Amino acid sequence: MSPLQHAMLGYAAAAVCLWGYALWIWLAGYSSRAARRQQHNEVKP
Amino acid sequence: MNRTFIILYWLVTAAAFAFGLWLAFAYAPREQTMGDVQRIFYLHLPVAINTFLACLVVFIGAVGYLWQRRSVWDDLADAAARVAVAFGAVVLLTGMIWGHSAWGVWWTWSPRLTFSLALWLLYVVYLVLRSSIESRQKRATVGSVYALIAFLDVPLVYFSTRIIPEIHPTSVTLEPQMKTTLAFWFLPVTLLCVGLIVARFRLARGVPQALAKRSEA
Repeated sequence: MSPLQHAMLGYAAAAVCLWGYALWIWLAGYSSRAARRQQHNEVKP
Repeated sequence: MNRTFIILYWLVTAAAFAFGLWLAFAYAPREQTMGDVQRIFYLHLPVAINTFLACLVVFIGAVGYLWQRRSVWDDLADAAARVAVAFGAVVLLTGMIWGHSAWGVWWTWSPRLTFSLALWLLYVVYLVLRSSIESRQKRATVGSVYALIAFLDVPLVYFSTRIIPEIHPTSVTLEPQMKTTLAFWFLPVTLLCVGLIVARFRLARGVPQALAKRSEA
């Protein structure tokens, strides 16, 4: 693997870890809000 | 928090990352000794500094909880610890990739690397410890005391290269374009670090608030 490929691998690993974590939080928040909305609708028909 | 502001915040962060990539791979010149692999440095250092920042937030959250006994401090510490683990993993990964190209080995037990691995493990254990305690108050108290002790490793990581001579570089001579690139990379990485801590904190605060509202109804 060339030095440039090493550098690109480093940036790719960082992108997967950090933006992957950001996506995970967003998905967790989205599903949490969706569950709350559903419960709210069930309580108030 | 305003929805438009949140969307704008993440768009600016993503754009700053894209511009940073252009700076790192096109604008900054090739380093003469190590070659292109040195370009990892523009990401590696800001992520390492932001890992310390996240650890500091955990420490502040722990002190705040032990002082006031309010769950908001504990939620802040928990959110920052998760981000510290994610950022710490990136520091280790980028360091290993850089080391493989520059030194010919993925890992060496030098003081800086060993203390960095210990720091990452300390915060992984913090999260595992918290998840193993069911009582919210006990979890917050034990976690806070543990976080105070874990933070002691941060100055050890920072000062390790100054105290003990080792393979990890202590200072790097940079050309002006390299300095500009490095300075710019602190923007997207810090925005991402703060954004992730706030997002995880809001997620943690949203669930108990919703439960409280439901029990009131």
